[in-house]
Amino acid sequence: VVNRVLQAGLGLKHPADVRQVGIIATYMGLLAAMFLVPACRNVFFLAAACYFSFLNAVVIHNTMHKPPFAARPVNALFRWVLSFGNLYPASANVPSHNLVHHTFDDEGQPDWASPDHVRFRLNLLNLIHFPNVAGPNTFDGVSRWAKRKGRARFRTQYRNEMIFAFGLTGALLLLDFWTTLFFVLLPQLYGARCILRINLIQHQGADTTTKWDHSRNFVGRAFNWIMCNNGYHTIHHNQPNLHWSVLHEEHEKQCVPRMDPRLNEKSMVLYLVRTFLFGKLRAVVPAKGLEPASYDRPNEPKPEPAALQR
Amino acid sequence: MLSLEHFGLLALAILWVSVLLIAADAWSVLRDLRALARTVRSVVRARVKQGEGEGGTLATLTFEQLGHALDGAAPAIDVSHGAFETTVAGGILDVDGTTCDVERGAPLRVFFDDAAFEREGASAPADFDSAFERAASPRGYSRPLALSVKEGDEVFFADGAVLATFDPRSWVAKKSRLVALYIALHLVTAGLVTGVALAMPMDTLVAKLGGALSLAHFLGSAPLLRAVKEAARAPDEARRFWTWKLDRAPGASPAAAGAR
Repeated sequence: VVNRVLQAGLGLKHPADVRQVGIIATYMGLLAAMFLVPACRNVFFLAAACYFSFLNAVVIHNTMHKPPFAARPVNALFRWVLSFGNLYPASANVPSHNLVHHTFDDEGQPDWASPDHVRFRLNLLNLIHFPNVAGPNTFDGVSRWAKRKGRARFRTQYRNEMIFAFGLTGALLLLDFWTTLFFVLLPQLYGARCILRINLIQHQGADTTTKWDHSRNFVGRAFNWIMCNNGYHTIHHNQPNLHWSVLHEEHEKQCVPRMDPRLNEKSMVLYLVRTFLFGKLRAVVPAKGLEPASYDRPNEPKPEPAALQR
Repeated sequence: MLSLEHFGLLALAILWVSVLLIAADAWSVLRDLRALARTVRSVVRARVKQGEGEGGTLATLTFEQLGHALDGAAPAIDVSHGAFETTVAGGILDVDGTTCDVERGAPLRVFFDDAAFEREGASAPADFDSAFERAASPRGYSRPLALSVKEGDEVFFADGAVLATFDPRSWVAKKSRLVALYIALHLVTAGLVTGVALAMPMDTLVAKLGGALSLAHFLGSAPLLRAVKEAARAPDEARRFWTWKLDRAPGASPAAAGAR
């Protein structure tokens, strides 16, 4: 009932999107508190802001698939705020994520955020370094894509978001340099870089040539509550137009019977620790060396072993 | 409670983790180039005596040329190359009077110089209007292109691994210098900005300048790494970009065309 009331009051299309607005309000509140109140400039607020910055990037992802507000100007305004939250234009997600990443292909070239772009032997280094590679790939690709015929509206939208994000951050830097650098910019960049790392986490070792084994899913309920169901990545890739609030049900219904169960992870934290701190890459990648007999896919023929090798 | 100085050190630690990873990434590119340098060290000049492919072809590099129409007053198409594939038809090389067989399907890397790519791909097709119409569609314009090494061609042959239309040693040396220079400049500039950022007290203009320079280094070094890696890509996989422009409105007299 509360969600419905808030939905009507905020002009949202879906009641579940109240959660997304709440996340962004909390994040902006944290940034404002640290900027304005010296007592809030501590590691606890900073850590919380970094986490919510990552959630801001998750909301950018959801928003660029399905704008949450009924009114277009409000969506544009919301994108400005989100762009400030991660210091990159939210609209960059349209070519980089919606078009290129969802097809794992850039006209015969790899996805700009393909895990194959990093190749350190120690996988933890790949995780840390990944944004240094995927970020420039993305901005170069977006720039080329935006120049194409018929993209004038996109260019305007992209430019406006850039002006707002960089303009506001620049103004804050002029007002209070160190406070902005440590307590605004650091969280902004943390979230932007973490959302790029998610590409590595969700696809490394998975087989992007298949329909059901291209992504790793993180299925913890609490995790997905705060992450707006972004743990259910297989179903999101296959049906990007589904609203995020129904991904859990659709994942259970469509993906679980067909996918390699080892691409279902209960906890992202445990996966990260296991894979990037204690694991060796080849030992922890589920799709590699997987025996077909271990599959339980009643709706699909058993694949040949060769099809599982990258 | 941590002081501003502690947060400054945290930010510098983050900067240096990134600096070292970027340097290590560039180092891995340099390592690949050095491996290639070892391969081409024994390169010899040769002439293709016989090619077993169509029209006396010994080896072919095929690729897809893709184009998308650009916005602007004059019709223009942004063109790039991708999907490279090397096919070795086999044949015989003449190396200073002695013959050397190249087997069909041999795992050769075949390098063509920039001029060859330019001759084949930099010019727009004769029917620019039709190409522009296709380039303006969502799928864009595409055409397959190929570069071949044929009978009578002068080539450089290395260790059964590389066949090039130019001396690959100078290419590898030039690219290695570029990457090494990048690594050196990257580390030196990181050291310099760190030195400035460590100026105390923190509320001075110098310290703030150091903070701003550190941020610029953090944000700018990754795109530079990308540019260096792209520049150091081997000739058989490097993406090349052109813009075909026409100095007239589409559909006007082809005589006025100046496509390039």
